[in-house]
Amino acid sequence: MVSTNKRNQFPVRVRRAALELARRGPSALGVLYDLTSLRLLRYALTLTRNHEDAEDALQAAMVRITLKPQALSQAKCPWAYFLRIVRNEAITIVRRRKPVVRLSQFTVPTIEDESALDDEELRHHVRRAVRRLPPAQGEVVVLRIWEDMTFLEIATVLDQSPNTVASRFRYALEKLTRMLHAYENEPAIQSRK
Amino acid sequence: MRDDTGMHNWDLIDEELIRAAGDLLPASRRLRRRVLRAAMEAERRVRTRRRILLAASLLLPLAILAGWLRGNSDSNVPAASTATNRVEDGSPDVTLPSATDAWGHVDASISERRKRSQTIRGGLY
Repeated sequence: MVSTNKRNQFPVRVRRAALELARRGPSALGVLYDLTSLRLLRYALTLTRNHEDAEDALQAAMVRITLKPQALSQAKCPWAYFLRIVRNEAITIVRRRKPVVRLSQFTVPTIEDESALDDEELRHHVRRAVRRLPPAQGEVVVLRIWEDMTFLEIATVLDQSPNTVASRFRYALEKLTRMLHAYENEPAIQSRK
Repeated sequence: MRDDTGMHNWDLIDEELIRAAGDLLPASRRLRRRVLRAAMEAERRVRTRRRILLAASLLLPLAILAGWLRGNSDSNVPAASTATNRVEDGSPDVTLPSATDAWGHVDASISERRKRSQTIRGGLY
């Protein structure tokens, strides 16, 4: 579990990196990138559901921040601000994208391991279930649980009321529970047991 | 999350189970290079554009000033006083158009237009 101390430290580190970027210019972008890119990519992936698009959203957000570093460093909460930029870029990319049905979304995973579900498999299925959530609910789960943000902070990022965010989170958990329960009852898994 | 029967108890799904699945994707050096390069190039483009605009904003007034000075020093260009019909012999007389000259053509055209419109109306009704 992420400790409270660690949780509080990350936004502080982002703020420091943002200040450094504003002070030193693009040469300091590497620090900010190394600090935030993987988390931002994971968040963008929840919205775009496509790795290439998530990378594009991350790149567009980084370019935007490089051109206006003061906007990030002077933001009340730079980390929330950065997430919001990535979100906007991801939404723009998704809107521009032609509708494509990806077959990989519908493939049933083959379980070759003879042993029962191990932890890695379980994590894989939870990740898959999170990606299958509607983007509006999926992003709340990512921000609430993986980014360890409060509902108030998430509401700032999404420009929604905290109550809406909390409702989406509750619906997402219910849906995840149903999805994982359905997975547990799959015939392939039942027959192995 | 397993009970005694070895089955997962999904009723107990909580944040911890999802949190445990929240692994970050592996870092990509290729993506890092791509993003940093794109950011640098965008910043350089903007910086160049700013410089061009700054130079233009400085040079344009200078060019206007230089043109004006050159125009003043050129003897072929008529002096400003010629345009106002000022006599260049040192006398203070200035020939300005009279009020009649200035507005007479306007009055004439208005009266002419009235006449025309009356003619047209007469034809119509």
